[in-house]
Amino acid sequence: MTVTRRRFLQGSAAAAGALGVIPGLRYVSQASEGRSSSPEVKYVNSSCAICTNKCVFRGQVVDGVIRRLEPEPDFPRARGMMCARGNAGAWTPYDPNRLKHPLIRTGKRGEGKWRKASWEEAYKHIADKINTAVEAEGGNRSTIGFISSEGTYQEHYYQGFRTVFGSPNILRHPTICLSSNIRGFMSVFGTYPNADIINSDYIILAGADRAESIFTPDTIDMFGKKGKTIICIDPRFTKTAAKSTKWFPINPGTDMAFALAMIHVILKENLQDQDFIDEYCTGFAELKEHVKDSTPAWAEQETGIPASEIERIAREFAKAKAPVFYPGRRSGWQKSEVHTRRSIAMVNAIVGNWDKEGGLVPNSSISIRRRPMRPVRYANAQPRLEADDVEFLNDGDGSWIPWRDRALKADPYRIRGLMIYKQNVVDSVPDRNKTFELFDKMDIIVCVDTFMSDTAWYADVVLPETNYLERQDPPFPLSGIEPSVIFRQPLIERMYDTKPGHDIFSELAAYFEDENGRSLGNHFRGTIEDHMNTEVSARELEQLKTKGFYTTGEGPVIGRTRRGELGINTPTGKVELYSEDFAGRGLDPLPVYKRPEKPGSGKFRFLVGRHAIHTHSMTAAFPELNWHMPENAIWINTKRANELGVKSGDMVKVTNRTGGSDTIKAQATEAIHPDCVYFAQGYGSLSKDKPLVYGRGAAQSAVLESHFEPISGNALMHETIVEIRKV
Amino acid sequence: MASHNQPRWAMVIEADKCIDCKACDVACKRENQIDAKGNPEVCRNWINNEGVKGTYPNLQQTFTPEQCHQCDNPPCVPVCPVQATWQGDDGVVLVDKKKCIGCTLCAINCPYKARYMTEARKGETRKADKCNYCEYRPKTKLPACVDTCPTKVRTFGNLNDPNSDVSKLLKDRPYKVLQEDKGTKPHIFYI
Repeated sequence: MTVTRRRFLQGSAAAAGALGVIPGLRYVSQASEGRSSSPEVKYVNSSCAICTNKCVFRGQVVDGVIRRLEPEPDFPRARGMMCARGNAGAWTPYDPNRLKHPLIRTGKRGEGKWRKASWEEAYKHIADKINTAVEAEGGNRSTIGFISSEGTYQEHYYQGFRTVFGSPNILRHPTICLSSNIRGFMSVFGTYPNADIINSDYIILAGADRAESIFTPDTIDMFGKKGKTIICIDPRFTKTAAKSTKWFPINPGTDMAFALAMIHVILKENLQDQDFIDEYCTGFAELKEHVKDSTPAWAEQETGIPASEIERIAREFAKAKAPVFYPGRRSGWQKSEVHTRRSIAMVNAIVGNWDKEGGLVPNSSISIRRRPMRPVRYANAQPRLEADDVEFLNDGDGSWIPWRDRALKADPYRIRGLMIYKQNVVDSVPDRNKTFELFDKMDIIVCVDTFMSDTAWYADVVLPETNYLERQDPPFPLSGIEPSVIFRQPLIERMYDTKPGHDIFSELAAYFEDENGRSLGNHFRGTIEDHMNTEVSARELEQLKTKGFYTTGEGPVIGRTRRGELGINTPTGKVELYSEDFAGRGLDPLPVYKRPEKPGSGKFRFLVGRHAIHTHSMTAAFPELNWHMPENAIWINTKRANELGVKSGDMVKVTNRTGGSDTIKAQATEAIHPDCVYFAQGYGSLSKDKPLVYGRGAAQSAVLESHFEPISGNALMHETIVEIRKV
Repeated sequence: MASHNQPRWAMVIEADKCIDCKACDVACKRENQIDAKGNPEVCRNWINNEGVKGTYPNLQQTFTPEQCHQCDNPPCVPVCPVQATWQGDDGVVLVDKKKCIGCTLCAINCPYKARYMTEARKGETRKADKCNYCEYRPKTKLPACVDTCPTKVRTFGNLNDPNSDVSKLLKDRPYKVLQEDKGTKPHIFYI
């Protein structure tokens, strides 16, 4: 997008009328206009909620109104930075369309007709519906599905409620994110490591778009420190590609061929770290044999990256001081995804990139004294729906795609209700049509959120959680190379009739009983304040209140597995280049490359990706962010666009193979592989309470097909093939 | 002109670190309470991005942050008919919005197009506005665009202090200013 500057002298503020007044910011400026000559300025340290990084900030509050969230320079993970999203988050309490009180639906689902309800009324309504549903299923409490995002401050209270309620059906975020990546790295290293990017000098990024998918401290360290070689393989010319030393538009889904050829070159030229391999790895001989034919010439045919470049990269990588083939997220998300990740892990392993400065490092964490909730036993408890569909199903995460398929077929039992906590299912899970089919089968859908997401819009009862800037959260252990404990405390008083998650779930629990007639509310003890006081020491709590975090003070924790303080968590206790475990399960013990199918004539592979100003579907309607991108557009390679007779700005209809479709503006660009198309997430909203994106642009979930990968259960978002037609 | 006992505030921009993430823009709008209402012209800083250049697969794209250059010879100052725009002893060019009559002469004469006009309030004209390095902030704080930047593209400090980070950067590295030929003596340095 081209940014021009200052045309106001010719045309005045032409765009100003389009959005009208943004009450959130007007609220802020009005409040400050009325202030005295010496306003009361206070700073409250707390932590961000706009993405998973939870950066600690200093909240600047002027006369009781949040003016800005400034970065806290001492917080080691974010080192004095606050991204656009974090800054814009200051608007959220003042969002005129935020959830302000409990709502019970009065019209049809998605019609947007609600009545305001008291908390008691909402709880009672939910309990009546859920208890009736459970009774209709003969007491099978598994009939209620629990859905949530992952790693939020109060999620354990929600999981506690689910545990005592007695349903094993939990769906968290990982299988629409990185569970395949975690599984791939776990199978080699026994854990999913982070990378000590600040000290690395040669980085290969496969799909990981760290300039746009901001992740602390990796983004800071990757681009804020000069002198690193960055190789970017991605079918899309992202901003990361623009900042890389060299970009290769790899054929989509062929990352494994690239990695295997790298291994081939390194081993053929004897550039591996043999000492590391001998001491820490198993299966080296098998790997060496396995990659014999994975020549750069072969990989060139598959990936489209010249053989000479693959050779050069392999050599440079092996000879670099601290090379990292980055274990980032979006890469293949195609059929052999776990094995693709395994092959990337192995490129690291053979050059000895493990648990050392500048390399991959297993995460550490600081423990706090948190009391887990004991499960309640129920006579008619059933195993989770998709228990047989995924080889390494993580019970705590579930697997979205097969779970939903099972629920649609009531196989082996019916799902009658959904409790959804902070996961915008409608917008984030592939194949929105199927999600709506699922919703149609539900007796009750409860959504707990802070704003009217598309999912809340289609729920029956909406419970408003208190905004993160108004909320007290308990201490949170944030793992990483340099672990910390972080904190959230209110900057301002609660503005509306909202409650923190803890209060919602503990109060709701009191409306349910176990089979012995005991209230489930009994399982919740104490308030959040009580938990704060017992989970950490008084001194630590004091530091949390003043700084928003504490660390051990020892800095990064590197080398524990090399010093023998920590074992390697694989079945053999070694870094596994060959996996007996996989072989025993009938899976390929080594990564076997399978050529991805071509989209076919006139068709495209649909890619998903991130944008620096957005966190998935959450932020597109934040005014200060939306101003930078009022709607999304679909990237189509210029040549292909010409073939279709499509010009930038034309409206096109994108249709997948199962009939899912949406309409969106085209953007003809050189910046994408001719076989692929892409558009950003978060737009084309169905919720009228997200007015800036309601019906504006398109939604990814409308055109993503549902595919999953049976080793980790991860959704395969890049298996979607679409057609494009000008409308 | 500033005396040597005065600070002379300046900024050094390492443009090739910029990832075009817009944190500087949003932080600035927040800190200075600018309600742009979707108008891309209303901003105190911006990132020049001329789009993707080249032909697939040989592509490149650059991002260059820019803002008011806090010139030593600011062309916006002498043209103001009511002396609403002026330069402080510390080199920062400021606008007195009470005096401003909204004539836009300062904006027209700024070669960097660094000024925007606010919306007219009831009974008032539009007002010229621009970056003032968040001048009302306590001196211990950095301008919002500087503190927030993920990759620390911007370095702010006192050019008259040889030990400041800006002085050190300019001493060690080659730098340039934009539109030097205009003779404005800008104090945003690019390295």
